[in-house]
Amino acid sequence: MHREPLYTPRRDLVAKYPTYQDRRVARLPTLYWSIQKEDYAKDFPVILTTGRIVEYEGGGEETRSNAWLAQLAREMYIEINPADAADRGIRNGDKVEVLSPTGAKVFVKAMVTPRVAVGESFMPFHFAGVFEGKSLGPKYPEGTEPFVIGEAANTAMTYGYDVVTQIQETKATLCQIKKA
Amino acid sequence: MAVMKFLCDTKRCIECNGCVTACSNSNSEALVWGIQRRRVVTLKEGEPGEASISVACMHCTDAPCMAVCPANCFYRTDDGIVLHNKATCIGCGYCFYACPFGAPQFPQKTSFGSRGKMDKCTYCAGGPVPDFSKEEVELYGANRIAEGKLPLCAEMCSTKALLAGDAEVISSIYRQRVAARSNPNVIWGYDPQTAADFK
Amino acid sequence: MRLSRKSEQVEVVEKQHLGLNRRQFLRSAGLATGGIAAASVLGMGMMRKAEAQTEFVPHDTPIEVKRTICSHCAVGCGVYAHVQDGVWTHQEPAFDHPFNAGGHCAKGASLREVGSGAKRVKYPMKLVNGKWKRISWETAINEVSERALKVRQESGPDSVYFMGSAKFSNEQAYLYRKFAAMWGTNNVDHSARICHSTTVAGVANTWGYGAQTNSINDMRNAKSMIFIGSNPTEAHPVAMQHILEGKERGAKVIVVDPRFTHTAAKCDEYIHIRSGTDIPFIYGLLWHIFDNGWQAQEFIDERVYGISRIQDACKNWTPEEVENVVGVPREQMYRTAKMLADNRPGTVVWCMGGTQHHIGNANTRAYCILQLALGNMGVVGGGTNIFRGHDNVQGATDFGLLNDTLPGYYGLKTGSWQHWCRVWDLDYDWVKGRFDQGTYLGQVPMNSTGIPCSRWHDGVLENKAELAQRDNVRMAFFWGQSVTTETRGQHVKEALEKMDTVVVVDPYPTIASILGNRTDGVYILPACTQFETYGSVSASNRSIQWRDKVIEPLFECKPDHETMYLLAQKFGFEKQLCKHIKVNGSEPLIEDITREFNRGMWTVGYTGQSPERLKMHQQNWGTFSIETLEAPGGPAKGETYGLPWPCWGTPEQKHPGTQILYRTDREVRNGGGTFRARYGVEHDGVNILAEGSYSKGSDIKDGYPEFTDKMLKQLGWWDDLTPEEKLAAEGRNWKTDLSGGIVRVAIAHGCSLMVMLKHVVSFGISQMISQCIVSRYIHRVVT
Repeated sequence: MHREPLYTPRRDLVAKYPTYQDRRVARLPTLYWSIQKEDYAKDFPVILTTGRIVEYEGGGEETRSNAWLAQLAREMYIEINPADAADRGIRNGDKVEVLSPTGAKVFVKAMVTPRVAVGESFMPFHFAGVFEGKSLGPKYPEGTEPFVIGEAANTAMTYGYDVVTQIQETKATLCQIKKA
Repeated sequence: MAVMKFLCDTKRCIECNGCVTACSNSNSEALVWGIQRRRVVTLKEGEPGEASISVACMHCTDAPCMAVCPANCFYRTDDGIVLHNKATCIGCGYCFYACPFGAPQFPQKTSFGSRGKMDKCTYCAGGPVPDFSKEEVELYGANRIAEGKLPLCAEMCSTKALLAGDAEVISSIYRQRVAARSNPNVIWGYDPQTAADFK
Repeated sequence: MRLSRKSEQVEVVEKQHLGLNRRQFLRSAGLATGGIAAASVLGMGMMRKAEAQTEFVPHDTPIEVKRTICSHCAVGCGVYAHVQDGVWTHQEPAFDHPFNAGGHCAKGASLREVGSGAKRVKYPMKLVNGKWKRISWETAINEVSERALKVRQESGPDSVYFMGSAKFSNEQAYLYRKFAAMWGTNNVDHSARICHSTTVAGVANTWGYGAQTNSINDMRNAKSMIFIGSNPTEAHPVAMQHILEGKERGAKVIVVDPRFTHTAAKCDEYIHIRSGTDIPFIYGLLWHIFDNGWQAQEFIDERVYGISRIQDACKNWTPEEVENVVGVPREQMYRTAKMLADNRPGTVVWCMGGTQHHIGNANTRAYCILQLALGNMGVVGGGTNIFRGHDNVQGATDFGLLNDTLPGYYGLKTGSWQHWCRVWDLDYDWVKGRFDQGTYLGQVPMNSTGIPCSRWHDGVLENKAELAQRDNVRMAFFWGQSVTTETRGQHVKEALEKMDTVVVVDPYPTIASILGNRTDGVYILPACTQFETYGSVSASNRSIQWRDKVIEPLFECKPDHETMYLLAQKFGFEKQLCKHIKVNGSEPLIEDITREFNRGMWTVGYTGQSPERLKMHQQNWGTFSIETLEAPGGPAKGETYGLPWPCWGTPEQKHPGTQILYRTDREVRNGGGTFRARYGVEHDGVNILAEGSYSKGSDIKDGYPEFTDKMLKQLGWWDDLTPEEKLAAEGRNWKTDLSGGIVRVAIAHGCSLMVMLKHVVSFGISQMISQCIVSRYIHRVVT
């Protein structure tokens, strides 16, 4: 049975394919409908998904601290379709602000590419060490700051947990992208 | 004698950068941050027809770098590997202009006058100093050829896309693969047009 | 190479060796301790100074060759590490390893850098007035345990959260789960929660086991492959070696993804779907399959229950509705369905793109249904090949490093606890007494699912009255997992600030140590990587591989099992934790831990893989075929590499491991099997045992329920047991008989321990079951 994502761009499908009612899952109250009922798509029209890049793994703490890997992928970025980029006056390599419905803002570089479709965007999730534009580099114990730090994609990711296992929703949410 | 070459099978190359990192691993003592002797280049990024290829020094038979070098620092080994002497290199950068693959690297990224010594892929064959010496490791990196091994980039290629070895041998491996794949446009790589023809 | 991704931002001007070796670092650490910079952490300045006196290891220094496994994704690539004079000097490709044949991606090719120790946590530290202060191990363990015991006293054991790691070895994962049990909480979890937990739940509901059914090598034999939310070129690059080999042999490759990934560039058909519409997409394919009569009817009749309900549900997903919701036109859906129907057997691969949704478990069931309709299960070249993403996320899952089960998916019911208490040789009442004895919102802490690691921050921030435990989470161990992986970053930060104490145990100072604006109450304990210890690791395909220790622990790092033991001493349960495990100094013996879990992991067949058998496989990589993973000869003749679970019975029974789950064309003793009962053998009064389908050589035809002592007696097989086995088996079933006798006899008669059941596909049933597993997770233990 299909259920639309909690943060869906297709408001017209919500009535037909609604999510679950809010409920308790194991020890925690868990929200579903009380999130989906709000229309975020007007202000946050771009689908945001996340994933891996080959050089890094997981939270990237180990791989970003590996010199041979870190020199291959030095910056956090967001993939944007050329059409969406043009609409926003964004060019390849520009600094952009990714706004999340949670109120979080992350500052990353734009990679303008047809790899993502119009209306969709993608961020890799291996970066950390910068929080909403502020570098946390100096807070690391001396000599341990990874070679590469960047905004964590999950700072901008939103609510949503599987009804059985409580896996988090990191593949289908919404955002708005602005030139920073 | 053998003629050692690299051959990258673009149908198998997936831009995993295993070769690039393997090079760092093999030659770590000779490399500095930001210098990669090998790179993976992807064409038609994010579109149907996207293809990747791993590129380093191709150890040309008639090497342009060698032809233009004013200091005459290049030489070719009996196995057809093009090497250079960092003691006589003057860091002028001519080889970089001459090379069709952009293989020569210059560790110091400042203006022309202070380029520093040129660095490039050695086919994991060291340089013109005693084999396995401290000097060789620090200036040129590994000498796997002297150990009877092939360059680590090719040995570690995740999908066996990057082949290294005698030209005869690797071209015959590649030929067999191409024959097995038949017309590459029909069965290899996503092409909306071909896919639409398949009904 | 994307130039925009790899900018020209180069900062380091002075020569910085990338290959700092262990000795240089040890020497610099020694300098730091020697008084020059005693109070400060070894900084970059010190590192450069050390480099200036590069220690050169001469080429002819004797080489020790260690066999280890890559510690990144779960493909499980083999590595030869050359160690000279204690320094990891070379990493050589393992051409004879059956998974990777020497190949590595960027991450695998970078393993040796770990030996350099750059950026590692070098000694225990704590945050004092906003500054990091070096402390001794003794102080660290004392202070951390005092703080934990204080929280325990004030708020109960559930207020301490134990985040674990998919980077643990099997032994460490098992010991950590046991450690949390002795502490008295189910608030223990690791990253399987946030990657494939929905697969484990969804697939287990359909087949019986939540794991990759075939193997990556087996994809060489597939005729079609469909990747949904999986991008192996970036996430599992070495798997592409087998995938492209399969493609070169003619397999059709289909990629379904919102992005045109590198994998898509290699495919025959790329399908763009809108994120979160996997189920309509699968139903759209099924619509065409049923519409054209392409379903595997014979297979369905024998082995599938509830398909008619699926057919009914499909009717709503007309090509028009699919195009509206998913965005894929009718022609492409038809073409794809036909490609799958024409090219059987085919395999389905999914990863996080399918699982990480609020309907993730329903997605995974949908993929399974597609495979059932096509009859692609239990066959070579078919199956659901889910790729797992960390080197030991499969093992850590199997060892119940989860909030909802004990090791082996036994669940959390009283019977489950009693089983493990018998394995541990501990008094059940003592273990029970370690837990909070209250009842909160109707839940009993010992038997209720703990707080998932995806939401530990909600455990900290949620209103106490809304939590089904005594108090909020007040202290957490972030042991080998980064909190970068939790969504809602602002809440994560807030939670880190609110807790009394944050403890990071990791080789690197993960973001949990610095994200919160704290000035005190943060500890970092330096941990070893898997190259500084040894043990077993389970690859994605369920093969278990043994790792050698490559180098000695760097700096003051300790292996995780030793840190657990040191804490257990302070918590006062080290004797119980290691009752049958030898402890050398403060380090529990790895082999003894392996043997202990061998004695308890009957459900999933982790019982036959003794350390001796695993080491024998490790020493004979080259004898296993890359095509079949089986050894045609040599010491492991007839066995599958890594004895993939289920490897039934005791090690002495020499089960060869099961490469392909649920295949009935082989005897169970030879790696065959059937589906497993998860929730009884009847539904709505209908028998859901298989009909006319049984594993090769079985003395019982058709399906049958689970083996118990009573069933053996009914069948007249009881006297096949030895007198000792009879004693142990009386009143037990195959999952709780610690002698393994029931298992031995059932297999000798060609029977599978998994119940011969039909696959249950109906969503109605699945939802009913979902309700059950919220509280019970996996299956019941009959005692």
